[in-house]
Amino acid sequence: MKRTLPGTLALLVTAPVWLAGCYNGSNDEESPFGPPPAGEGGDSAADDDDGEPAAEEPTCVETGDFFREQVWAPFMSTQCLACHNPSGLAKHTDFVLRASDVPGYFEANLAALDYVGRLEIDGMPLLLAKATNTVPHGGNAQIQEGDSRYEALAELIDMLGAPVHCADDADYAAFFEGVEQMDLPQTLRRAVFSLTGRYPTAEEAGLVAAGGEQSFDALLRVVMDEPAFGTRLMEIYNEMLLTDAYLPGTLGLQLIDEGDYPGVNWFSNLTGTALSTARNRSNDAIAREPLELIRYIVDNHRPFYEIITADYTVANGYLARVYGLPLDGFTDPDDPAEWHKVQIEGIPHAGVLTTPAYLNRYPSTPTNVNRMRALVTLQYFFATDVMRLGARPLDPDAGAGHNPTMNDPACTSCHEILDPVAGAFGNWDDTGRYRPGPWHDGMLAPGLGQVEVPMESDESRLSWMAIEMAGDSRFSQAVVRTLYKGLTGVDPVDEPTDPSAPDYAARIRAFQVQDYLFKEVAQQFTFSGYDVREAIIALTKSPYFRAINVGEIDQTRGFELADIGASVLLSPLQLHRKIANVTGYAWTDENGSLLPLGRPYHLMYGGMDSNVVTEPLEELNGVMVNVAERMANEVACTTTALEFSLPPEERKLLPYVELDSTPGLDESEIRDNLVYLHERLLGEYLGTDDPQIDQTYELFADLVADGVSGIAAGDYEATLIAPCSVINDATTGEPLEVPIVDDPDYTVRAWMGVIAAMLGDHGFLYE
Amino acid sequence: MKRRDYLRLLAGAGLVTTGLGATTGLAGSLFGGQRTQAAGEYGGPLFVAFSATGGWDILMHCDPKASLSNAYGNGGIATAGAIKYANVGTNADFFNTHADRLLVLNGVDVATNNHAIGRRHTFTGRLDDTHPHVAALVAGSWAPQLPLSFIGEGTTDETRGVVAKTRLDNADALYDLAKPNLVNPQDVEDLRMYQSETATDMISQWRADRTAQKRASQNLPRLQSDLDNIQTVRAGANELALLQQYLPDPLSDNAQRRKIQITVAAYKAGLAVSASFMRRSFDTHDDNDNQQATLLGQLFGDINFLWEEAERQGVANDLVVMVGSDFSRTPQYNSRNGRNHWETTSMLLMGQGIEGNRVVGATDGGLNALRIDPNTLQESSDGILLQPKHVHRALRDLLGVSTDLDERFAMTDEVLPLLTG
Repeated sequence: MKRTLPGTLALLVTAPVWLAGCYNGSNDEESPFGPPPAGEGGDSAADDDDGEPAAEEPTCVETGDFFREQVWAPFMSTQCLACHNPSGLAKHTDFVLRASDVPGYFEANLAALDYVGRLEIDGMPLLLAKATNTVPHGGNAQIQEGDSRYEALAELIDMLGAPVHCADDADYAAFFEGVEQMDLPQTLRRAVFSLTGRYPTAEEAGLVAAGGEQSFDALLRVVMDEPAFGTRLMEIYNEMLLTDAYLPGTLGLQLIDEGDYPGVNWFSNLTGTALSTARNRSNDAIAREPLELIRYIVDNHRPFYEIITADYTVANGYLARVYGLPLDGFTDPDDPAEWHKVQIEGIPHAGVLTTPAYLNRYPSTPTNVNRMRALVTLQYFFATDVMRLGARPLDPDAGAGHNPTMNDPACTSCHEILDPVAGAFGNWDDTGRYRPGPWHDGMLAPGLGQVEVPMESDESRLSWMAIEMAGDSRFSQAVVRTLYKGLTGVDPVDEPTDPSAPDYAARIRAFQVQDYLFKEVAQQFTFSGYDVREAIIALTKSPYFRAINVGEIDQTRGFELADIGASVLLSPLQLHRKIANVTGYAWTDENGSLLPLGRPYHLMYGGMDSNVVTEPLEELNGVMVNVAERMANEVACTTTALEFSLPPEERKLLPYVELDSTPGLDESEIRDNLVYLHERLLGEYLGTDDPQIDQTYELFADLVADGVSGIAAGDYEATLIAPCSVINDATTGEPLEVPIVDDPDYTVRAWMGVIAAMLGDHGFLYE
Repeated sequence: MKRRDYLRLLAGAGLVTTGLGATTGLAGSLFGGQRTQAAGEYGGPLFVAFSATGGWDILMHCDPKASLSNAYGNGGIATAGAIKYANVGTNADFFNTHADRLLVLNGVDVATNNHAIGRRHTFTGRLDDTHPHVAALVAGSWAPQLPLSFIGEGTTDETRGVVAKTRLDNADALYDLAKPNLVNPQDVEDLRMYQSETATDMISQWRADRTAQKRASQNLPRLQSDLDNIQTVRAGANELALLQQYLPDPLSDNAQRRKIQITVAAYKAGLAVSASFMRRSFDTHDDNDNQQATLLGQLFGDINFLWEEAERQGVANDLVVMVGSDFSRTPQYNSRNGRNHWETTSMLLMGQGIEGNRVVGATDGGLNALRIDPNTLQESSDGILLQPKHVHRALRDLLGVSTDLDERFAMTDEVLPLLTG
């Protein structure tokens, strides 16, 4: 059944229609993922054969869309929800709605409406009779017969009798019509770098080019078994958990209660370097325990829900000493990288949730009573942002009354979700020590949602809650959201809440499409046995990871595509890895790399310390541009002459040219090397006669010409400055037979210029 | 009063400057000069916002009520000019020093008791998550291309793409970054460069051409924004060296004050427009009075220092300061002598274009916001509640937020004569 809408409603839905017929989660339809990228046979349905835009078709409106756009957003989410919510005045009626901040609210509310919508009284739909106070309604008349809200509600009741599925309209893929996406080799390059900090080898790229999507999936699975993937996953989760805040000094050690763990300062009898090493490594092990647990679970292919349910933790030799655990299972107890699964006697472990670093990063107080812990746990692991509930204005004339967190509707909307989870943390005291005991009478009972912790699980409430969470689809959605942010650098789209905003219709579509993707990926993740690799593979193949351009679009389409685009400013750590990977040398000074935490440029280049600075900068600023400029100059200086000191087959940047390769005479070799550099440094796959190669060739030639004339005029030296020259063999350290100090043809400096230009280019700094 | 009427009145009173055309900035701004494209030439306002993060207690400073607080002791409630304040901690120094330039806005309704959302409401003017921090908006309006245009050290520093946020961390590193082509910028006698000046120009041109070409063919908004931004920030990046001549030597040992010094020096050098700072730990559910007194002493100390530094650098006449918090704290103590969250709060404004020595708005004996007449600003039972949007409307008009950004990030059209009475 199709339904067309006249007037103002039609205005809301005339943009490219999507989703219809595929938003009900049915399994018998084609997968909406991965519309073929441009060049892979995908034709745009936006154009007719004659090249003219297709004529606008009559609009079909899905029942769910109608509910969301005409009923929920305009009035039901405010007028009705105020009382008809799980803690509101109408909580005991058959019509209980969920706020839009709660995942799954949409389906739950449609189901509630579907049930109530069937009820009638004296031939009149009960919903209308109640809302108009035709029959007694505790909330009195909320709408009047004949007004637009009445008409919309009546229309919805009618539609619920025969739900509209616009089955022959465009589906999810239509949302991305016209969006140009990376091909598989490009996607592979981006994915492998994002996951491991390296680029695919030629062999890997060849496998995917030949084998297509199946090979892509298989290769990524192999790549994600590399140790670097675990490191990257730890970074992604630290951006959320922020437990690296305890890495500096002894901040981690200070989290451990000496009464509970007498061995915390086990190193105190050591002296000198042994003491500082043992203390630092013990501290770092405490700080890193939650992230190392995540790495352990992934490395060992355990179901990912164990990050919150594991009845164990992990320790290296240093943490084992802190916890007083035996060391006999360790190959080398002094190896900080050797982590094992361990259990601490008497502690009911619940994955990261019961680690001292997590419990203290989100500490409690006697008045906060674990609500901070509950808040972040719901957000991080249950896709539930309780804070968004607080975005509704409080009524300034409403009184708070007694125990408002249980009785005042302005408070209960958050606290009915928050407080049971806070209670589940109740066996852990303010400083993260396990201290089982009764929970507060004045708060909701420990549990999750409406389900209370059973008595027999009281001493391991948190473990019980974690298992409940893990069994809910919202856990999988939370994982997908975290991975999405980590892979794309973009926050998931929040559902817009202001239906009067001019961009509401476009933004709600953007939200719905992404929500659909997340739920689908979450389902794949769940069905895979909670294999995080499968979720990552699905996300990397989605348009959110692969989109690189679109044709001319109008403002509405711009709102829809506002968060689409494969471009992420590299974090300081990613930039550090990229420099080392593509040039073979890290950007360093005498104290080591300049970009990791604790070094001069880490925070200035947008990094975090997880303590005071808890969010990375996501766009370049004027200072960061100068960091990049200095990096480009210094790295180009230290690597270029060094490259020429190596045999061509060992070079990473200049395998096709020699010191005496000059423009004109050796144009072919120079162009070959430029093609190589564009691919290696910028990820661009160009032919030797591409206009971009022409531009870069021109740059090289101009640099040489300026240099040669400058030397002739005495303006420039014929030798390299010391930091850029090479006199010793890079491998052996022995003096080179022919040190690279002289540069009479200016070719070394010209290549330095080209490499510096690329290292500071947008294409290098963003991925 | 509607905004257009207010502007008409301002124009009639001769308060509308002609320096800002309607196409570039809001006509109500008192700050003259055109938007500049060149670093070192910026001459608009220096706007600094301070956040008392966690929720300050207004009973402990600008909205004192003896019936609700045990904190006042012998100091009681004091007066500086026309402003009443709680005479605790170092408040007397702050209020007596600044009363003439200080506008207190009491009875501001942030409509939430949620930290992040209250902070957002206070500093963006909107309860929902749509608008940039007002300091970002000002920087984006005047000179987003400056290398330190918006110095964001707070927690609600959303920029929404109007300007790139900069952090200040390491002043020594700034020296190195100011001359990224010098091998050893710390040694004034070492003039060795990695690239010749000609080569540097060629490289810059190559990058600029590439970015422009990519931008010309790019239609995805997010990627357009990245490319626009990199073009913008590159334009002013070379001028970071201008900062050096205005930085105090030595800089303060106190990290927060060091950042304030760099901010003022950067403004003086024509490299910065605005900044956002914060002090944490105001969420005093325990031991409210002692903690708030200490924290307010730190916050007001920062503001005192900013004014001193601005005066020392000769830019105090360009300075506008806003101080706010997530919300305030309950009129009643809890069982641990703390106070919980309360949606009625206050804001403090100071500086150019703001008539000081005044208090606008009020609360009743239970710390509930009282309604005010939107024209006279006097208490009026059928008036309106003072909300952050009114303050932001006034600040935008004062600070010359550009017309396009003002429309893109819509704010109320309801203008209250808050700043000038």
